[in-house]
Amino acid sequence: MFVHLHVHSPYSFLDGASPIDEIVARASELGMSSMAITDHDNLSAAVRFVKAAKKAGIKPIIGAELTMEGGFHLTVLCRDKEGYRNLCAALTEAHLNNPRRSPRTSLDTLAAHKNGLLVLTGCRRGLISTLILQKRFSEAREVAEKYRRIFGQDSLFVEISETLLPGSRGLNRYLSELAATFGLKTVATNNVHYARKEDFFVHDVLTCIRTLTKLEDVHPERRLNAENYLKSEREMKEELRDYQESLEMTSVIAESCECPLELGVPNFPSFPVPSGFASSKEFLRHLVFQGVQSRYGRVTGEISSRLEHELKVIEQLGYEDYFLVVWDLVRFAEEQKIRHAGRGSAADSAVAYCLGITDVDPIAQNLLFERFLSVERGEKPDIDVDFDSRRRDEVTEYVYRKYGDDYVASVATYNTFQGRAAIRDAGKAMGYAPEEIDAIAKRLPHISAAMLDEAFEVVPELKSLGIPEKKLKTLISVAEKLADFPRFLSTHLGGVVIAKDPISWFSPVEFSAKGVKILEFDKDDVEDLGLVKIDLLALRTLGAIEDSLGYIEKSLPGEVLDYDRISLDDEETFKRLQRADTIGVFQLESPAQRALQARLGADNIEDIVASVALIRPGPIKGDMVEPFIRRRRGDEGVTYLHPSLEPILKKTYGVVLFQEQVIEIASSIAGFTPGEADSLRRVMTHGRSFSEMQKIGELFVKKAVQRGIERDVAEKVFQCIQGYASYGFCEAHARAFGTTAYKTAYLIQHYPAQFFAAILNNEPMGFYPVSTICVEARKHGVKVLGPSINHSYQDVTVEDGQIRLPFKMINGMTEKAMTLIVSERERGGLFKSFSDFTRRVRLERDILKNLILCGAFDEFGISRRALLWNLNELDPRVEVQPGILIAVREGDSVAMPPIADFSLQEKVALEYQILGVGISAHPVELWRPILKARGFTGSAELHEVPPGEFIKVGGIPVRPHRPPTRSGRTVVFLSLEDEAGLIDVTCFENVYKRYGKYLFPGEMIPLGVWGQLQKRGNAFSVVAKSIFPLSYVLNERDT
Amino acid sequence: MTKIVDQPVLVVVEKGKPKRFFWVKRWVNVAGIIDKWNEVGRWWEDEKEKVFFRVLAAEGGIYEIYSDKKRWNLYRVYD
Repeated sequence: MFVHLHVHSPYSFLDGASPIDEIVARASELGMSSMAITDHDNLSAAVRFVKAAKKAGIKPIIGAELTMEGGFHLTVLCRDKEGYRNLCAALTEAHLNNPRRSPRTSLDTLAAHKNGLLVLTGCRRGLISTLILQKRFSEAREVAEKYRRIFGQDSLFVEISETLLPGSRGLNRYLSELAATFGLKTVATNNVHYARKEDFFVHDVLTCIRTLTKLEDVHPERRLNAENYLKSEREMKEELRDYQESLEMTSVIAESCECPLELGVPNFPSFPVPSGFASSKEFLRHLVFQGVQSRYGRVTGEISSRLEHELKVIEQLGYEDYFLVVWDLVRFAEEQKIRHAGRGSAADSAVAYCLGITDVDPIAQNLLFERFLSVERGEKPDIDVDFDSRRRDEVTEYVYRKYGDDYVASVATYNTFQGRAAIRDAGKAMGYAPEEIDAIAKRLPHISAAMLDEAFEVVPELKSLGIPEKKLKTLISVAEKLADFPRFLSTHLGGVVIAKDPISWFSPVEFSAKGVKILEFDKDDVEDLGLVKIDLLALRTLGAIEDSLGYIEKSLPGEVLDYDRISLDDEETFKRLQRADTIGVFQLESPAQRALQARLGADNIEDIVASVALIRPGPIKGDMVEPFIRRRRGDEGVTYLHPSLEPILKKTYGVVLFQEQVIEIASSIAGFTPGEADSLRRVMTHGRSFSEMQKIGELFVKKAVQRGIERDVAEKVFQCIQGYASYGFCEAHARAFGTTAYKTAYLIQHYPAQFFAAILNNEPMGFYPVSTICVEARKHGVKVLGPSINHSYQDVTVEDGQIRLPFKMINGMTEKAMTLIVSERERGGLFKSFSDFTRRVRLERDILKNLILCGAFDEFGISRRALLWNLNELDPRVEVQPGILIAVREGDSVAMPPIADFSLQEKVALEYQILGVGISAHPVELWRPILKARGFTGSAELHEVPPGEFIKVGGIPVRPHRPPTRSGRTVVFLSLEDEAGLIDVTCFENVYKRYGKYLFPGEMIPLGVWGQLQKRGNAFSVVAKSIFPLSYVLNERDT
Repeated sequence: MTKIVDQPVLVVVEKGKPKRFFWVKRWVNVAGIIDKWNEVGRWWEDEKEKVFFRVLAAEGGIYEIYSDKKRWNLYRVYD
């Protein structure tokens, strides 16, 4: 029986053209009993391959094709666990000791890690084959002899392939003779790069992408033919009929290899317990009951029994150490004053609350611990903690310090081909002009590459590209084939793995682009490997909160604000939410959230928690938003399908909103065990198949009827929770986020200058760009001052209740330049003039130019154009090297010519270009007289117009987006920013189809909209009837 | 030295292998096949896959001929 022992998956990164599932399915179709995956210099495919192969009844063999020093290939297969560890170790050395993405394994390294490995001499790029093809026969013999000496006769095999290339026949003859000379066995392989012959073209395009060539170009790595597919045993026997023993050897090798991966076996380190405690169990109990004092004051029976229950589950599952590790990280952050907040389902745990990991009291909120952890499910706990984004790395460094470099690594993510990247890369390879590729990619929504064909059918802005249809169709069909193929490894946002054994026993380790050591597996693979991931996430909002508290302390002496104790019932804050005045508020600022707030009338924290969960694809698609609002407002009565649902759904007005409620309903109505209830939640939230849903529905109804519930009621209840499908939001998470949302609203309400300043200082964050935040700040009476050479710093500052923009917002600014300016100002006092500045500070010409153009020298009373002239006219002697200006000699004066300044329009345009915001004015403010004359309504005047009236509005489009809708039709939401705020615009499908090219044109252009004014609650929006570039109006002559 | 010809030729085939071909007004007998390989060509222009043979002529010359399953071409002549 022939076995493929040299197969590349897509994890050969642009050198494997069939998904793992397809390769395995094809192998199974061909009746293969075993198969190996041997990707280039990595093991990323291992876990997925093992799972897929086992499911298909195929024995998985793990290996790799190593790139040796000199660039030659060598195929290695793991015979056992020891081999796997050795391969991980060899690959780790190859990655860490060589430039990133150019791993090279030295023969010495491989020799040191040879135990448990079988070595195959490699494809045509193997050293022996290369030498033979170059007719350097004696050298080939020397290498064979050397390999035999190092790896031994029993572990070394001469690889023979017939991929029908020029010279193959001669090469195989010589390889066979060489093997016989040294008493080695030959083994047949086909160096597989795709499952079927017809997939060759995908591989060819991938090769072009990898080698940065076009299809028309010639490159040695492009394959001459389509023979590197998963051939059947019959085909292999035919191609290699003269080498029957090499075919037989494949099954001998396969039998000698065992799958080295044991998936799901836990591997978590023991937490170093302080002396005085016998075990982590004892220490955890100690910490929890210590925490009770600060969280609750005293231990009531309810608290005690809840904690005992949780601790029992944690102990039963053996996760005491995991909780202690997370507790220790949070303790470290606390000690270092790094702002943090637990998120996710961990907020369902009173133990996590008492340990200070989360800030939501699950007992008071009646949150279900089983949503987080249950013995029946036996899943690993997943605690996510957000840290101030600027200081998260300090926490990560602490983990490395505490547990040791060799025991910690970051989790990887696979950067995969999505629609745009697939079009860009395939387009380049296929020789499309850069402007053609740009035109398509920029108009393309963010979709999977697998949906490209559909997108080109329905997305209107892709209709007017001016590219011949046949040409476009070929590109789409190629790009679609690249869907979800991994392009490269990158670092997971915050996932860190701590292992009991050295991390390189589980995975090779390599450097990410950021220089972080990463595993070769992603979060799902890591879990399958039995490793526990801890998410140390960076949240810019926490940085903004921290900054705003700093601004408050500095700019408002005597003001005392304890963020952690902000009262959750501030009337003014709720009034702000009711006005939908929420731009800048965490989680509540999107147009959809603002529309919700305008109608909801939130007046307590529960409304905020519900808001966070409501504006999600699930509730919107499931039509839960409207019933919730109507019931909350009292427009519709709250009813329950069964009295036992009342205690569960009362807080959400009878609407199923949270995952915890599904679990509770399942157990109270149908008597589901926690495990069954969680299966139900999973089936519903992960969009499983109809048959799965039907199956669990039948079980639900059956068990409910057994408990005395009427069949039709049980069926209705199930239908009701079925409508919940794909919500995917847990109350604990909504509560954690809702609390932060409320508190940021509180900060904006009471400290607008400080919080808007903090948002600007942490950009990019939130939903809106800098310009919108500045408009909002101004709307609330906070002046935004431009950068000033004498008053700005690196970061945003607050001066007398006004926001001062920092140097870092200036395009092209560098750390070095900012430090130079600020340190010289602190050393020698304020700059007295432009000449004084150029005398004292040496800057690159472009930086100086941008400082001038954004008005940083305005305070000296000289026009920006004059300063620019001066910059151009400076004596060439002052330029010590191109682009670098040095101080003019003391006493030299620079003559300022009488040049007229830029017009206001020019100034604003330049400020926008350099800062992303107009300081001298808002662009729309300058157009307002014309717009007014043409009958346009501004955002500040919307409330004067009767709802239902048709109006014209104009502004700079902000965040046009196409969220999922209940009807499944495309609706585009966008906002138009003018000088006084935002005007929300809704475009239904018919309008979008006609005017989509203006909404997603590639480059954003100011737009005008004619449509009907709508008022819902306290918010206005315009339902567009037509859309046009604003320039049509601005350039129109008066008639 | 070699010369690219790439012109259609008449080929007599036996068991899928060229036995003789007609070139410059005469039949050239194939004494042996030195090498055989496949080439996909310009697939993006719907070009068909070709099977190449490098053959030793009985008279002593070396030629490369290919078939794309529709017809045979003499591709290259070795001096």
